Amino acid sequence: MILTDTSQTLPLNRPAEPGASGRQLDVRVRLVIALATSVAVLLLSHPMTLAMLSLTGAIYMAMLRRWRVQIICYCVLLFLGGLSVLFLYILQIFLPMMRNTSPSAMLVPLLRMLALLHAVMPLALSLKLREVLSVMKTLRFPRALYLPLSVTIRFIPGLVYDLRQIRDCLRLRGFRGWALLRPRFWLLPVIFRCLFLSDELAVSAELKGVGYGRPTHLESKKFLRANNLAALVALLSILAGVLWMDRSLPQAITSMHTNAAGLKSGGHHARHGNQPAQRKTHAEP
Amino acid sequence: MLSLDKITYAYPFQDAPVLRDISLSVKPGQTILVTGPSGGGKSTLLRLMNGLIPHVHGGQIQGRLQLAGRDMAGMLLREISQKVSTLFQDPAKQFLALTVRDEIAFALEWRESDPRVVAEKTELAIETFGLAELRDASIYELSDGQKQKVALASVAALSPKVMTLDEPTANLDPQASADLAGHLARLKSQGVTLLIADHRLAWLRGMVDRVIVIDHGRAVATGEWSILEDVDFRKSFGLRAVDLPGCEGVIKVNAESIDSLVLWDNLTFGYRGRGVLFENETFRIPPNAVTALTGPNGCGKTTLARLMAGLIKPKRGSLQLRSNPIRPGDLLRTTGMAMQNSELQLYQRTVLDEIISAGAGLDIDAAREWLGRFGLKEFASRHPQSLSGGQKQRLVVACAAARAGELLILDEPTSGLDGAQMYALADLLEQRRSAGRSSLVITHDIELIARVCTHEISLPLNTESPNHEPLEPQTLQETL
Repeated sequence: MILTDTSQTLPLNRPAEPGASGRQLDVRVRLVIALATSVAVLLLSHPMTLAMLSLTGAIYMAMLRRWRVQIICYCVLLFLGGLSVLFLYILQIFLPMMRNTSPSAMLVPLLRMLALLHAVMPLALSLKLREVLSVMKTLRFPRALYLPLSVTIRFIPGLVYDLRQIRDCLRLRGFRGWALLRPRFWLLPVIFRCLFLSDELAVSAELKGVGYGRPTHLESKKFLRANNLAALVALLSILAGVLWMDRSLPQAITSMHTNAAGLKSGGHHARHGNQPAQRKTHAEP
Repeated sequence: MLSLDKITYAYPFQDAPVLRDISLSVKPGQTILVTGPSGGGKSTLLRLMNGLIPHVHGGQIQGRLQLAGRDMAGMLLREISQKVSTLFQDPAKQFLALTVRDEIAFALEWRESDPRVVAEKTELAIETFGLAELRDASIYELSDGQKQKVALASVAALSPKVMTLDEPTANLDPQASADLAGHLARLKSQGVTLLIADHRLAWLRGMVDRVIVIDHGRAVATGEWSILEDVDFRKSFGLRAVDLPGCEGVIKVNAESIDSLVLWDNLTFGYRGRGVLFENETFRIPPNAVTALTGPNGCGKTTLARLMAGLIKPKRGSLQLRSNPIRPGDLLRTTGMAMQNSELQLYQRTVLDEIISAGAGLDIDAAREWLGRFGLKEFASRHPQSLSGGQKQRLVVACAAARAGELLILDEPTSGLDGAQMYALADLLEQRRSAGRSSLVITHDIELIARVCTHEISLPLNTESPNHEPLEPQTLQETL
């Protein structure tokens, strides 16, 4: 497997523009931002607060300076929004009960998607898998978790290269069109390739002492640098502000609580009330 | 340091021993070269010495094997690997981390309890092997020579007493081989015992204390380097040259006056997102010629070969075959190509089916004849993937040669081949040339170039001098 010419990053993980501020943030901060936003969009339901969160997120995403991707994301979101409205109108034709639903009801879900997109896309666009593995190592994740992941990730570009080579070989042998798609032509070489590679890697791991005793860890970069800490504080402040402003939050929590209680009691009924009744109905005839 | 007393070994489920009655005593700091024909048992001998046999491969061992005065039969692989480190032919297959620093630190992390010691030893290895600039580089970004250097640094960081190296220069160009030789010479001067199995001999001149020639599992000759100087001796065991020949007679193909079988004019090509590799370049393959395509790793040799085979289309450029404009796809019909990684090019049920599938319209007799030319006739009914690495490589070359019409392209066909097999390949290329057909060979193998190549394309084109200057023995000794 030749790995020399292969980029270390997957297509989505192409690095951000040089000097982009978003890229300078520690991967842990970016992960926390994505996680916190995911939780926030679950809790928030007021269009204004969601819009504020989306605006803050837009600035955060813009720090990457991947304008083209950002615009494409917005276009996709607009398309999805348009599609939702279109289907709403279609549903209203056939389902009278839907006629009371206004198209503006689609705004909150769309804003939620927008906020989430702003938090997740910078992570996806700027993240190097190597960094994630490094963080897993620093945070003392079990080796049994990150070592196979590391090896798998390392060989993905190689697998792409291998598949290309198989295709080239088949073309050189004169196979065209559907003949190229015979599973045997692709599976057999790949399976044997993986078998040989895994054998060699296992030997290498044995010789390097993997599995003997408890490993120590090479000192890695410190968990929090000043800029990362600042970013984390800024994020928490934004979230706190947004949460404080969202007047619907108490209702949302109450509503969630009520729903949960309702589900619990409904489930109780379902288990002890409805199901036996259904069984009875089926049994009576 | 190491002693083998009448060792006989057979792999599991095999009756015939691979090694027979091998006795050897290695003193600390010695460098031992194990050479001989392919399939003779060189790699098996190294596996015995680094403990992979019997701990990983199993099998039956007779005789006594000692490491630093201890019987290896009673030692765990962990104990053996603390004293004996191993460097494989393809270093990329032994990397378990993603960056140079992490890879060098990897084995240390499993052996040292103090992170500071791990860091110190890692940094020392990085500096000693001149890898400071590549400290945080991804292993994908490294050339083959750099990968081999990183692999060597990672095993040297463990401060082994013994180091086994299995064909470490098979994928390296002469310069990278010389660099490797320099690093090994330093380790030798520090008292590390080196056990090197290799077909290529020239790069080891001046460093080896003892030579063992293994053929059919037996140590057929042992002695000092001087035993290899005998041409008849080398010929009888199919060994390669001990001095690299010059390539004075090879014609550079950059000259406009040379006729062209295949001509790419004003060629511009680059992979998406990776910039331009060739810009308005002109490449030509002469007719009735064996052309070597040389250059450092990553300079675009394989890409150019794929362009010449018609496998990829350039951004710009015009293509001609015997002065007639054609489309790249048309080249596929008249070209045979053997790439690296032979197991990816074999997918039939038997060896015979494989060559029949490759050579369009080949009947069984002709297919058997092709197999016979590559010493594969007796394996006709075997599954292609069950062959050894060298046999698979020969089968892939045979398939390409059986298919090739006007042009045969081979990508590093001699890595892992012994002298006899390399000469057989050279003969095939010469026969094609005599029959008025052309071949393009991507290679670092100076012996092959000197023996059979008539022309050379040296990449990148704008360099003044060829980048594969044959290493004079003096140059290597100076390096050492």
